[in-house]
Amino acid sequence: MNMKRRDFLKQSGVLGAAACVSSNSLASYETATTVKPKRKPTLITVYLRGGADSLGIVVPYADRRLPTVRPTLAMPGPAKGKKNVLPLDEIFGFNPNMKALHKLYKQKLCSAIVCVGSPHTTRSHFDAQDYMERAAPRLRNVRTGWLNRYLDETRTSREANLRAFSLQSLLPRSLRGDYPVLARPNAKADLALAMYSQLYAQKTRSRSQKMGLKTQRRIRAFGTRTIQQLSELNQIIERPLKEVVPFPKSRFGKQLRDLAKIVNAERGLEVTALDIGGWDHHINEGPIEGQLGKKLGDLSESIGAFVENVGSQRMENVLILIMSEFGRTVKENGNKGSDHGHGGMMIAVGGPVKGGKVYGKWTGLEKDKLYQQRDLPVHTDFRLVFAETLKDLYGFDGMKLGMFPQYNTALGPLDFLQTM
Amino acid sequence: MTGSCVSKSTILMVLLISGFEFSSAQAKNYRKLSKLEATSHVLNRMAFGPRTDEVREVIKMSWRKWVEQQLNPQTLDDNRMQQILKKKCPSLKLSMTQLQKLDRKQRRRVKKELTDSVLLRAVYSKRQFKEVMVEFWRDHFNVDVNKVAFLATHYEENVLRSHVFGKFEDLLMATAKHPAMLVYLDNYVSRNHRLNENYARELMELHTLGVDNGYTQKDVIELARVLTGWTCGWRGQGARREYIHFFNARVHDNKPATVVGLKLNGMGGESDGEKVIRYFANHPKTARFISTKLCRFLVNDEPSENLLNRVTAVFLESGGDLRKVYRAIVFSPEFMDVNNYRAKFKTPLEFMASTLRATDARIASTTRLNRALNLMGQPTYECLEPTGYNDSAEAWLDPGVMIYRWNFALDLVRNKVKGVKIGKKFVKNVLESRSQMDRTRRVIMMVIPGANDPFTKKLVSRASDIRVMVAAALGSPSFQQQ
Repeated sequence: MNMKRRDFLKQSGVLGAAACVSSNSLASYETATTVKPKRKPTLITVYLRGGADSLGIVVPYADRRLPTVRPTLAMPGPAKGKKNVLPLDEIFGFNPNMKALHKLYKQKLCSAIVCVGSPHTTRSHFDAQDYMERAAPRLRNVRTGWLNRYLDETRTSREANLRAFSLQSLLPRSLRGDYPVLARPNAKADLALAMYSQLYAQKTRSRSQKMGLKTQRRIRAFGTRTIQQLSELNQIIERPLKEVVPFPKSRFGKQLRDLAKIVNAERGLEVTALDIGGWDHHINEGPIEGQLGKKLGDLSESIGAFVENVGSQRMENVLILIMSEFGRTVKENGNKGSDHGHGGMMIAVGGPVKGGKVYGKWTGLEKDKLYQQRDLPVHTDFRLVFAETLKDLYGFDGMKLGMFPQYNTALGPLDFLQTM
Repeated sequence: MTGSCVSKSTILMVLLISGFEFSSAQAKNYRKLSKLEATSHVLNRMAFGPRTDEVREVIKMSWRKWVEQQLNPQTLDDNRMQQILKKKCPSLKLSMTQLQKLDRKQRRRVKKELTDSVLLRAVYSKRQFKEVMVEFWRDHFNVDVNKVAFLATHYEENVLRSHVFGKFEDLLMATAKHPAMLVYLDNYVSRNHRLNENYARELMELHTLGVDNGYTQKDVIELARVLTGWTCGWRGQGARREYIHFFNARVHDNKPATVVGLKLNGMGGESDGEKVIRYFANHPKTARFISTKLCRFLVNDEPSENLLNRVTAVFLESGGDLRKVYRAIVFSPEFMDVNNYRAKFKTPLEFMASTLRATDARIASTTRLNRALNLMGQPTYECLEPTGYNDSAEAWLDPGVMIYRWNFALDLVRNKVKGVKIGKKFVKNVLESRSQMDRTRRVIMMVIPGANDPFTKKLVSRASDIRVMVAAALGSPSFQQQ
């Protein structure tokens, strides 16, 4: 028989009283588990899945070969006009749809990195993403994500409840590992939270090393973690936000709106990761008014709105790092699109960025300077970007601690962040 | 006796002391599993959890007899399962040629039937250990149904299911020659001067030797050369026309090759490839790798050296006889060691199947079940990684997962999983109880028999509504263990 959720809760007498997720019980979570968080910087990674076309995003408008290789995909050089590239320096410009990011660039809160990528030359989406998120190209036995390794290495006994999580139901590989990170389920959870909180909250005094009991303790710890994190997360997200600048009504816009609420609630968020799919533009790439243009517009506006809604003071402590598994072919293909390439781009936004500059080595689009005469070369290993991010944001020397297995090439500092 | 520095009496003394210590250490930690625990253990590890009342049945029979039966599934009558499959998944019996001829709508149906069959078998089959081991090999020899489509159906029935109790060499050869694997790992397009290394690499890395375990990039290329021409397609004329694996000599690289020390002169055609495959199947490193995976799967996430050595030896001595290897594991002292009792964490499939078995569920439609499995992260035959779904706690125990399991348990007891109903036997059993204490005992016995968690027992006993009691048990930490 069908039972209304309310009745079901009522019937679960013993579980009901203590387990109603009211603001009262949440207060008990807060005092019991949330430490007054120190102002640790916040890192937000945004992964563009599919191999985003770096040449359509950070456009080398000044390169004389560009119109030859991109006859239909080229964009007019900097000038006043909707379709014109937004200039960054004498060589590069942002795609015309990236107005908000361009504004941040001029405010020195945004920078780009060109010809960045993996030393491994796979053109498989799966492999390339996998290697990048584990920061271990070709090493199959490294199963943990680089962000998770950082979280695990720096974990303490009293941590902010919402130190790390992901606002999507599938946890990105970069956050997978021994450190428990919540992937917010896209299913209603209040009943489950109410029902199981008491069952999982029990602390056992048993110190037995028997595997069975160890496993049980571990399951209990994860269950408790789920309840604490999800309850607090939901509570913050359900509060309305007075939007200083409106967020786009897209999925990404909504996620950034929720993220803005959490950053503003100052609960000690340290690391989070988001995915945006659909950047694999083999056909009809449409960098100005088509697919790519629209996606970039959404990306740019959402981040712009995020920055405004979080405010300049808090943004001093927040870094958004945008990346993709590889760039695309320099020459467009016969379908007004481009195919899988090698070197790509990254974009960094936030107070910690030494903004207003394009980083990385650029050797132009002449055929002999390209990888296999077809793709942008990789002049900066993505692990250098990751290593500098962790070092400058958190003072964490990943290289020294062997966080990036088999990577020890000192490829000269990129130095794109201020030391916090 | 000359030259020995240690006198006999000293040796005796040392032995006595260490023996003494050993036995007293043993006495401290040594506790045998009770009959209930041992039975619950085999039903959790060698089956997808006990059915309602099954623990009692198997205790009566003795768990050893049950295990013997399960190691010889051909002795078990599984008629009911066959009837269910005939009705719900008729496409399982189709030949490759018949499957190839289907239209788009029919092919969608075929994919659904394959996914359904895996879940239905896990829940209803009497040959539970067979289903458990087919699941193991399904992951070890992973293929993605979104890439190979209907080929996966034929693969499941004719490769995995027919060799699961046979020899590893035969299983390996069958996977190497099946269109599903040839397509999944791209070998079917690999040709002389246009090699595709994918299958050659995975054959060594994932299927036999293990990651970076005795082969180099050069070996990958050499092996890829040997396997050029291993492809699939339509062969024959008229009525004899069929879709099969075949060897295309025209695109085969027939120059000499050396793969991990095995020298081939290149003129053997298809038999060269077969030679290499058999070489890997019987390689000591393969024996060790497969034995390790099997012990992790059946015993605990980190099996002891001792156990691995013994099982590897059985593998090698028996020429890769899988039934003998399984037997060596399940009758080992480690398998029944109290330290490995309830030490593993259930994968989403194991969780769902055991939930449906424990509650004697009737499944009229699988749609919601597959959707739930998808949310929990384990959609059947859709693992993107060629490594297949991992079995360890690491892979599945993360905070988000619990919510989906809890939601499933709550939906099931409130009758909100469309097409699925808790069975009459289960309900009757609970309703027959005479007191709250008795009801608690029955719920615990049917859902988490042999569990040792006082908190779950306490909470279940205090719940006033039966539905809440059952949901509490199904979502409890104990039920996630196996």
